[in-house]
Amino acid sequence: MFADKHAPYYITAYVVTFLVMGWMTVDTWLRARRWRRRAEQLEKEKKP
Amino acid sequence: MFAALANPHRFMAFSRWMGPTLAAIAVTLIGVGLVLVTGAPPERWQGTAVRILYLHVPSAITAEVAYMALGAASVVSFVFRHALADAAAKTVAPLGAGFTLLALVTGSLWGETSWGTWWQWDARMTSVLILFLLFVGYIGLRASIDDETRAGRAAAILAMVGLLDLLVIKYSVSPPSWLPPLYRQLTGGELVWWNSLHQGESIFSGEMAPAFLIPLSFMIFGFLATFGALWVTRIRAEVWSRRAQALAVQAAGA
Repeated sequence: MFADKHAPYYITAYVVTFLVMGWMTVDTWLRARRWRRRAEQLEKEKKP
Repeated sequence: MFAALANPHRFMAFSRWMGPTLAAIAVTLIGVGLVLVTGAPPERWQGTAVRILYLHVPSAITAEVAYMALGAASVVSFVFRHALADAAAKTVAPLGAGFTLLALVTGSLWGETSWGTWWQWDARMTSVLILFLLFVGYIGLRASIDDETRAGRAAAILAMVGLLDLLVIKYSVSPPSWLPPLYRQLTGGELVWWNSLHQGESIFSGEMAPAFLIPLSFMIFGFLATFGALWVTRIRAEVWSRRAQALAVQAAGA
């Protein structure tokens, strides 16, 4: 299935695409988790 | 609907379920799309190189939608000084840069295998490269100004001016249909337009066979849903970040 002359091009395209989309997903998730935790922690500290 | 979501509390309540819902839709659409792509036939002239179509076109469409979102959020943020619109603009730029980079890289790979060249300075490719530079420039400009409000306003001006590039991208392969007859009527001559290696519009022209169009549609909507899920989540992160910074300032002053 992946043995034709175009395979190096389209396989590279799929690998790069899913790496970039994967990186954007992980970065977004980590960013959201970090700031939610930080805001919740500061809210807790604010309350007497 | 947009007016209701302009309230940060309502946005946070809405986005709590909207982000995961869009993520689930994205995974389903891309999953089904990939299954359909593996069963799609090779194209008559390009052979299996056509498989890059299912990544290149969705990336390019998502990149343009991301810039439209950046432009719209920048207009609202600039005119109404709306904090949530500013957060929306700030958070969409890295995603737009990512999808534009994908459109450029997959386009380059497709170009090499079907045209025999990685790059040509033609109107379509150059205008998409400018789109990437606009996203990167927006991110860089915001990062270079310490005052968040001033940074947002300066970057919004750049984003609004950059909206013109979307028109250049749209008409880089062919002029609007009304222009050649009008030009002929006014001047008596034929309109000379940019020459481009890039093919013209084929999705909405009805020229594409369903065997290609159906998997492509799944991938396009899957990429758009991915973009939506990531954008909503990034806006939530930005709202939390600003809340945390405000609380930290309060705590320092107390």
